[in-house]
Amino acid sequence: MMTQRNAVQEAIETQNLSLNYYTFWDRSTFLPFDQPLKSDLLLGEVWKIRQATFLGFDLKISEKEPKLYLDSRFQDSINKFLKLSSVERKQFTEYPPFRIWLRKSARIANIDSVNDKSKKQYLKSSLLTLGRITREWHESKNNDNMISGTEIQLFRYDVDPLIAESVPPSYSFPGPDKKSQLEQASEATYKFSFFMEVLTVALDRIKHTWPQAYDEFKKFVKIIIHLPDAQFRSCSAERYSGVILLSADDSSLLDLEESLIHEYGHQILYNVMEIDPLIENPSKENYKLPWSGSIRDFYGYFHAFYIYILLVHYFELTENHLKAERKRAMKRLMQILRGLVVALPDIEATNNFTLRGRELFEFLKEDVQKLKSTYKHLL
Amino acid sequence: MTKKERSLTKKIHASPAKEESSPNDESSTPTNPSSSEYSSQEIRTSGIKLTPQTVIEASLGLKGIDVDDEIILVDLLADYYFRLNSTATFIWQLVLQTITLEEISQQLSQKFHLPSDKASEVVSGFVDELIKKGLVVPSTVTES
Repeated sequence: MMTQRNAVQEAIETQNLSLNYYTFWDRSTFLPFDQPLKSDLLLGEVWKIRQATFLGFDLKISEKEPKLYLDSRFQDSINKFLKLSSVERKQFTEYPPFRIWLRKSARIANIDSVNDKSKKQYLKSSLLTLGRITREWHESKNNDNMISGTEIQLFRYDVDPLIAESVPPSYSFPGPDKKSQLEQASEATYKFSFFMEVLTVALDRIKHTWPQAYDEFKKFVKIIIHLPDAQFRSCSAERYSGVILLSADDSSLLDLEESLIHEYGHQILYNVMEIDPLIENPSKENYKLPWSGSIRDFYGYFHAFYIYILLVHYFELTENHLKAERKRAMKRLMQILRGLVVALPDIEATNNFTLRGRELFEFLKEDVQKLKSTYKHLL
Repeated sequence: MTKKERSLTKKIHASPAKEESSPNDESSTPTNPSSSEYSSQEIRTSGIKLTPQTVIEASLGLKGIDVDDEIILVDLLADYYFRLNSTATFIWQLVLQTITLEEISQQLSQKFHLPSDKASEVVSGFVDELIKKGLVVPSTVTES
């Protein structure tokens, strides 16, 4: 009996494995309405890529720069990493400071670069930094700045130096003197603890509006940074993926929900683009975004197109919001959908997609056409 | 937002079933950086004719790391790292034994219950990919 059960279990696992290969790109938008959801496959692939880059980097440095390798005790950090369970290793590779560190360090590991004195110095300092990142990652699990019900950390100005270095020009974090002034000013006008409460409520509303999106959000977003003095509404970038920046511009919970969903959409694409760039040989052509009138290159246009599809689906699901909010949500939905209809032929006409990028676009196009059909009487 | 930079790690996929495609199936992505320097015809083949008696050897400076049922290949002279999926890992372990492609195909056929012609096709495709990327060198070949 036991043997038979094991055989059945093995067959199921084998089938699932085959399913993974067959379905990763098959009709995948990686949005939370995919059937089945693809986020676990996506993130499972991405962390393996990061791990391979990390271990490859380690081997390369140990062979090419043995003295530097020994002096920096880099091997201690690698040994600690390898002793972690695969779940913990995945978590570590998703920790934004590590991701930033890896991206910067691994690119200077080729011979020519390392022979450059200044880059060698940078490499040395980089190797020494990993110990700090590992220690702070462990400590972060016990930090009191976690958003309730999640493992997402909330910060204001006091962020990891690697994040602070990577964020400009989106935002320049203040130096020590100005930081304390800004913290005091922000506490006087918009208390950190109050923003934590607001954010918790906004996430809870997302949870009730679209449970899958809430679950997915928690997988992709690791750090939220609240910057009341920032000039943007919200912001993120591939170079510091896993982190989203929010200003104090959102004047209602519904606005904040939109910002959170918007930035979560970017995070999905950053991860997909670690596997396939989706966009290749981008032309220098700029586009006027139909939603805001802002000028963006094709990369920015495609990101916006993808995110606004996600947002239309979010606003569709707001039927349990207060009546006035629902009305605003539907108005916003229509604004966004009109923009999607305008954007569709622009994006379709491009030659800038990889094969996977084109496939993804075709699935998104079908979705926009369905939405257009659903709301044709209101467009 | 900034432009996407190319990943430093590429996956090399050897598939026992032709229609399978892994998340990072390079063979179906002719635009990857490592192949973009080739002409469209050369993207698909290394230009080296492989025979059943061909023996291949890992290139000088190539190191492997075994982790989580995968092998990560590190070419100390190149900028990229390569991940081998489980089938490719199985073949790679045989490559390291410096046996002929025919013997590798036989073992693959037994392991995955594949017809021998299918196993040969998988091995040739995988080895050709390795040659293209400069990760192995054929030691008994006929130039095409």
